[in-house]
Parts: sequence; C-alpha cells; structure tokens
Amino acid sequence: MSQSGCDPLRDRLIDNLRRIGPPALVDLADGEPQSRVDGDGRLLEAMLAGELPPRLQRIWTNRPCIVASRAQARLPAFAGAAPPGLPVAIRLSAGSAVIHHQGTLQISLIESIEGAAIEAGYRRLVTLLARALAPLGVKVAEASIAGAYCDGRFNLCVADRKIGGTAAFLRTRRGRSASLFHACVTLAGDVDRDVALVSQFERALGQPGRYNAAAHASVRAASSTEFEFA
Amino acid sequence: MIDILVADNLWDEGEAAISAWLYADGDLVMAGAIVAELMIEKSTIELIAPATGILRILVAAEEPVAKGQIVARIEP
Repeated sequence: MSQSGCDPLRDRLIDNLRRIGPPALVDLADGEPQSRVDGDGRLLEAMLAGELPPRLQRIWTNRPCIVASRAQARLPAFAGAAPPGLPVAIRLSAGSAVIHHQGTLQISLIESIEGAAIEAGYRRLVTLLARALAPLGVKVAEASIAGAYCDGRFNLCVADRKIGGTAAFLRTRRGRSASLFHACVTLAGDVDRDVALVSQFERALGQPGRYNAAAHASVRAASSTEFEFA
Repeated sequence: MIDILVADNLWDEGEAAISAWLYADGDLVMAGAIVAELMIEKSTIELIAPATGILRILVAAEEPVAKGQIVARIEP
C-alpha cells in the first residue's frame, strides 16, 4: 500500500526498507522542522531507557529547511544566517549543513551498542540503503565526493555524484550506550537550488560554502540517465 | 584524580577532535554530566564526567585527539 499516495519512488523505497531492515517507524507526519529533527533524539533517549527494541529504523520526512550541526549553531553569525524563508534546524550529529524538503527522505538507524566502531555503524546504514535502492535499479556506492556539501567517506553515491549523506551521534547514559546513524537521501528535486541554499547559508556563517552542483544528483535524475526502475 | 579519556574502540581511520567543551576549566561538574563533544568522521560522541568534582581540561577544543588519550581530569 502506498505510504504517501503521491510519490511512487519514495513509497517503493520505504516498502523496501521495511521489508529488509530492522523494525521501522514510518514517520511521515507534518511538523515543525526542529521537532521533526528532534524525533531522532527522542528515540535515542527511549532506547537508552530500555523502552524500545535494540535496533530500529525511523523513516521520516520534513518540511523544507536547512539542517545544521551543533558546531555550526555555535558560530556567532548563526542567528542571522538562514536564507530568507527557510528555517534552520539543529541536529545532534556532526558534519556541516544539509537541506531537507519534500524530495528528500531521511532514514535513521538507532541501535543499542556496546563500544562498536563508528565505521561499522555507517556500513550497516549504507548497506541497508544500498539493498533497498537496488530493486529500484539504483546501484549505490559509498565514497567521498569532492565539491559536495556535508562531504564524508560514507556518502551514498551514484556515478560519482552524491545522492545522500550520512552522519552519526553516540550517547551514553548510566552505563548504556546507543547510536544514531542517519542518512538524508535526495530522491527528487532541484539539486542546483539545494547546493545554492546550503552554500549561501554557510557563507553567511562565515564558512567557505563553495560547493559544486555537479557533485550532487537526485535518485530520480541519476536513474533517468543511467538506470531504469524495475 | 579521575581521567576522562577517549575510548580506544570508537573508530578505525581518520582524525578525531574535541569539537567543544561544555564546561570551562575549573568548573564543578556532576557525575554523568556531558562535559564535551568529540567529533570523528561526521559523528558526535558525548564525553561524560565519570565523577563529581572540578574539571581540569588537558586538550583544547579543536585540537586533535588520539584513541585512548586522556583529555581531562576530575579533581574530587
């Protein structure tokens, strides 16, 4: 059954994630961007309190917004850096700014851990997403992409262009540890505009903010040029 | 003195750094308080005070840190 009734690509990805991944919380509700971002932290706290199974995924959407790291939020220019009309939410994980909108889908893997290496968590998330995208005809690799915003070793890439980014947060409370590994996947939309808005925001923060739109692609654009959906 | 150190099993490759201290050197901190954020590979890891006492910072924010390194101490 369709999750949203309006986007077959997103619905099929969600269906695949539910089928192959850990127990899924499909969270497509509307809400304020910061509250939507904070949903990951609430689940992490619930896991640390022993109220949830030890591994779950949250599949979620958000209104258009910039999502900045806490390090960016500490910069003196942060309060005035938002592009006009675009709210800014702050996330727990590190890295730099990304953008959420109706063409992005966020996938958060929340796990109870015992001192696991960070790389292993990233690989679990990237592998889950690669397996969920493969039936759609999208072959994903993990790689750093020069010129991409919020670049990292565990980007999701198609044909050397970034279609999604990943970041993580680890918390310990009273001897229990839990991890959040999350991804933002650009399924559709204008990546040139995304890059321009992220660059504008980071320049307003006093950061270089020089990114290359050619380093990014949406799943839909990448698939129309190189792949066909099953 | 009780050490606050960087766990040695967190990551395999790449550099880590203290992204921010959430208390100043010499502050009283309570056991269980989040005293700093460590940044590794687009990951944030909170460092927790293992005891109540006076925080003595040994590594400044933005400075690189190694696995197992002591980054602060707590004076009871």
